Parts: sequence; C-alpha cells; structure tokens
Amino acid sequence: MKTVLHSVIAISLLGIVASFSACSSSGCTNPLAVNYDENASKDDGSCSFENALMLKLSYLVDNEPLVLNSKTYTNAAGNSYVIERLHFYLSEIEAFYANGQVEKIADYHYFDILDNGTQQIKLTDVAKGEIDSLRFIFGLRGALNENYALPNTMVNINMQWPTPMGGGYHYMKFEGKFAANDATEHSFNVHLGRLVDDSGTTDPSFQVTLPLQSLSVNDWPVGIEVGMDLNRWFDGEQNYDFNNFGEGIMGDHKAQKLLKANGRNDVFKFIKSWEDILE
Amino acid sequence: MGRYLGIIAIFSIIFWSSCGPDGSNVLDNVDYNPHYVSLTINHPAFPEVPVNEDNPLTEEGIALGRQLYYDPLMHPTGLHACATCHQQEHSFSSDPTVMPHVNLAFDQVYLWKGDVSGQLEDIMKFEVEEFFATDVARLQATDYYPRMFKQAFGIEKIETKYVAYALAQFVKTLNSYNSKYDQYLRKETKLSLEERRGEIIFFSEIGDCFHCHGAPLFKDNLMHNNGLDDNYPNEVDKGHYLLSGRLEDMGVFKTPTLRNIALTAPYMHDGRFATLEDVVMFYSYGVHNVSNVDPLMKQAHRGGIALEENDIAALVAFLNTLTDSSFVQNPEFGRPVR
Ligand code: HEC
Ligand code: HEC
Repeated sequence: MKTVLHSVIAISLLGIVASFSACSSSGCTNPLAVNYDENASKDDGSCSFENALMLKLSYLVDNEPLVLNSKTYTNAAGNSYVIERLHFYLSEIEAFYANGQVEKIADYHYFDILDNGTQQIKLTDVAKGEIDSLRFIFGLRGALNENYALPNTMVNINMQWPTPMGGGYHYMKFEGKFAANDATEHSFNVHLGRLVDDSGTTDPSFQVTLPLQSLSVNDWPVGIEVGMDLNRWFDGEQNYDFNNFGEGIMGDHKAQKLLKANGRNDVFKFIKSWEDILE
Repeated sequence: MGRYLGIIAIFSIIFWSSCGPDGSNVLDNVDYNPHYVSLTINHPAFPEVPVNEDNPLTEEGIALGRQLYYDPLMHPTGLHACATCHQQEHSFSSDPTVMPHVNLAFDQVYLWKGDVSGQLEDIMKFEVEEFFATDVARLQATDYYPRMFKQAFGIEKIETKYVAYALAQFVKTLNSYNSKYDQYLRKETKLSLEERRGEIIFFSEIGDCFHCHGAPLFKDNLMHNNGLDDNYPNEVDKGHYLLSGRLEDMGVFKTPTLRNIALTAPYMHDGRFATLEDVVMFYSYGVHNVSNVDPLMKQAHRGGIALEENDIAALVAFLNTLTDSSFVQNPEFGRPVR
C-alpha cells in the first residue's frame, strides 16, 4: 500500500513536472516575429508580426547544400578538396524598390559558417512596397576597410589583414584541405583582401546585384535567401588550380584577381524569397 | 581631493571597527560603499574589457583579489598561493607548463586543453573550487578578510563564489600593451632592421604566425592543432580530445598569447622547447602533417615554413620585442603590503 501510494505520488509529480516543462517551452517560435522566443520549442500561436525583412545566406557546392569536413568536392581544375571553415564580410547591403526607393539592410555583416547566429540579418520597420533587387559588396570598402574601422571584437580582430600587406580586414577566409599533385594532403587558404605591396594594389571586393521576382513588403515579414556557391570561386573566368597557387595567396596579386573575376561572375545567387512565413 | 577623502574614510573605518563596543558584530561598522573602476586600455586595437554585470570592477574588489592571489591561505595546505606558480617576473607564469596571466580578460577558453569556457569568473571559480579547493573558513577566521569581503561585496559570510569574483577582478587588471613593439607602433621607438624583418615574417605568409597569434593580443581565443605530434603516445599530448573524445580534437590546444613570450620559457603545453629558437625551428622544419592539422598551418605538407638561419634569428628578435617590462615591474600587480 505504502509503495503504491509512493508511486502514485511519484507519477503525479512527474506529470506536474512534465506539464510544467511543456508549458515553459511553448511560445512564439518564428524568428521573424516581434515576440520571437528563442527558448520556445513549441509554437503556441502567439506570434505577432510587423513589416520586417530577413536576409538569409545559405552555402552550396554545385547547387547542393554544403557538407563540411566529411565530403570531398572536385573543382573544374580537377582538385579534390574538403571544406573546413568559411568566414566573410558583405557590406553596403541594400534592397531596391520598384519605385526607386532604397532601404539599407546593413552597413556590413560578418558571416561565419560555424556560427548559425551570423547567417541572417533582420531589419524591422522596413519601408513598404515592391522590392525588385538586392545589392551588396563582397568585402569591405573605403572607411570600413581601414585598420580598426570595425569595433575591436575578437571576431573582427581575427579578420584583420596585416598592415605590412595593406591593413584593413580579410574579406574572406575560406579554408580546407586538397589532394595535391605530389599525392599528399595540403591546406588551402583562400584568403581575400586588399593587397598593397611594392608591385601595387589589388582590391578583390566586388559589387553584386541580384534581381528578385518582385517581393512586396506589407504588414508582414518577408525573407530573401541568397546562396554562395563555393565551387564557383574556382571556375568561370578561369579555372583556379590549388597546385598553381600554393597554399596561401594573401601576397599573390594574380590569385586575388582571378578569384575576384570568378567570384563576381556567379558565386552569389538569388535562391528564393518568401512573403508567407509558412512558405 | 576625492582620493584623500577616500583614504580618510578607510582609515576612519579601521579606527571604528577596532573600537566597536564589546559584543557587537565588528562588521556592522564596516561600510559597503564600493568605488567603481572602469579600465581604459590605451591602445587603438584592443577590445574593450568585458563587463560582468554581476561582478563590476571596484577598487575594493581588485585590492581583495590581489590579496588573495598572493595569499597561501588560499590553499588547504597553506603552502602555495596563486602567485607561487603565477609569478609576475615571468608574466605571471613559471616553469614548466604554467600558463601566464596576461590580458586574460578577453579570453573565452581556458587551460591548455580548453577544459573550461566562459568568462574569467568561470575559470576563477574552477581554480578556487576544483583546483585549490579553498577552505573559506580559513579566510573567515582572519581579522582582515571578513572586513575586505564586506567592503568589496557587502557580504559577511565568505563564499567561494566571491573569492573567485575578487580574483577575476584583479586578473582583469593584468593587461599588457606597452611592449617595445607597442611603442614602435606608437612611433615612440624604432625597431632594428632584424626586428623589422621578423615583423614581416610574422605578419605575412612567409611565417604566417598572425592567423593564430594575431595582434594586438597575439592569441585568437580559439584552439588549434599546430602539428606538434604525429601519433600521440603520451596522454598529455592529446589535448582537447581528452575532453571531447572526438578525433578531430586530437592534439588541439588553446592558442597561447605571445606577449611577454621571452619571459615564459619553456614552451608548449608540456614545456618541450627550451628556447624561442627551438620553437621557430619546430615551425620551420618539425611540423607534422596529421590529418587534423589546422589548415592555417599551410606548410605542414613540407614540414613547416622552412625559414633559413637569418630569418629564424629575425623572427626570434621580433618575438623578443613583445616583452613589456613595465607590466612585469608594475608595483600595482605585485605582492600587496597589507
Ligand atoms: C602549482 C602551480 C599553480 C598554482 C599554485 C596555481 N596555478 Fe594556475 N595554472 C597552473 C598550470 C600548470 C596551468 C595550466 C594547467 C592546464 O592547462 O591544465 C594553470 C592555468 C591557470 C589558468 C588558465 C590560464 C589560461 O590562459 O587559460 C588560470 C586562470 C589560473 N591558472 C589561475 C590560477 C589561480 C587563480 C590560482 C590560485 C587560486 C592558480 N592558478 C594557482 C599552475 C598553477
Ligand atoms: C594554427 C594556429 C597557429 C599558428 C599558425 C601558429 N601557432 Fe604558435 N601556437 C599555436 C598553438 C595552438 C600553440 C599551443 C600548442 C601546444 O602547446 O600544444 C602554440 C604555441 C606557440 C608558442 C609557445 C607558447 C607558450 O606559451 O608556450 C610559441 C612561442 C608560438 N606558438 C609561436 C608561433 C610562431 C612564431 C608562429 C609562426 C611561425 C606560430 N606560433 C604559428 C597555434 C599556432
């Protein structure tokens, strides 16, 4: 009798605990909502919205979602490679409206493939109307690309481009390993940034304009997804063969120019926009 | 003027407490009126010192932390203080594997293997509670700590949490940004031709040290495998793998700062290299191309950066410019006179 009573108490306690935790984890689970609750795991229908714009980056290799570390890819030059890390800046990110209006989404943004929190930018209270294109700079320009121009956070500090090579910041650090012609595994470091040395200046930043099928902003959040296809850095204008450029290219004007030419060609593409949060 | 008033105030508190009427709690007469401090680091590239809302810097907290740091009462045996191993003249380190305490306020990962992550308060809690297992009763029994804890935190019963908080406050003040290299950047001094050659090697892909040991902290707050070993017969060399069990963490260690590196020999997590020449020889010819070597170790496939003799000397000369003698001689960081 005593044990039965005990188990009854135990079970009802469990029940209370369970219902409690179920309660505490429900809320608004839509990141576009004004009352988004990042601790909520179950949507309770409480989300409320405003006119907001979300820009989301996704990473691809030959149009397929990128798999880090374990998947071997092949570029146009025939190099087999695996991707380990990717960090980069986009700047002057702007939405262009059919009526000529321009909305600034961000002055600059840092993306780190290993940090999900950096993959999207949300702008609230965005102007209403029809957005028909998106424009941004790959990298940083002008005053943003001076030493210490960005706040001295660890993230920005780790992106610094050393003063002896021109100062400012790496635009991109894209790293992994490739199977070299000498049959051993080498690192590749596709590091882009403004190179200044005795033989001149090369600035691999470029502007990207992506037309959208017109997207209308009303009292409802909208989203734009842009893809970066990593294998496109290595073809387009000219194939990039890891064997020809060695492991590091920060001091190599030719490599910086070639990657810029390939990059502006078709690394970034518009994937989709959505007006309805349910897609 | 305000400072004098402060001193007068402190004196009158001491006076008061010693004259308290019999039987009353002496701490009743100790004021909790902390003086807030904001640290300014006069260097254009330094991050801001992170603020912990729960543990704001105060003059009283820093002074208490310093007292504790140098006090063997912290250890249950009463035999060593933090400062026994973390010695100021060695940038708060000593032989063979003791990690320095310099610009630690900016870190998020601690200990060679990255055992602890979080704020400085978190690693200090670990040091006090796990490593030292400090017995707060011993602190409570002194005639000075109860007063100091009350002044710093407004508490009468000492807890390990506040011991850790005070240590964190003191260690947050241990910032070094006045090495010869900093003075050179401020155009107050010149580097020799050899040191400048070393600077170029360090900050270019010739030596490629900066990707992990970048300025101004000369560490990146991350962990890497820098190719020290190729198979791992010794447990100590397995690094973060010992904690995570994941093969990609084999041989992965926290990037140590290179500030004051000339003062902290021997080098690496096991102290295997006696001199900076040995370290640069390793990065030149001894790097192992293991499958998880960090991709930033770009020349691992050929054993390293292959510097010639002159360039090895130049890189070492540059590393020597990172010594900050004003830091290791700063009387504010030394053993307190109570
Ligand atoms: C017996 C020598 C010794 C004493 C005493 C000692 N330490 Fe250490 N300390 C070490 C060693 C060795 C390491 C590196 C250990 C490791 O990584 O496993 C270290 C590492 C640390 C670190 C990590 C630094 C970093 O960069 O991650 C902190 C913080 C620290 N100690 C604080 C303290 C404090 C606070 C005390 C006093 C309560 C103390 N230590 C006392 C030897 C000592
Ligand atoms: C991939 C990142 C990386 C690169 C690049 C790198 N290091 Fe290191 N360095 C580390 C790590 C991680 C450790 C600690 C390794 C250990 O103890 O197992 C370390 C340790 C050291 C130490 C010993 C520090 C101490 O307190 O014991 C020195 C000195 C050093 N590196 C200098 C250099 C120099 C000079 C270069 C350029 C030639 C360089 N490093 C390049 C990551 C790196």
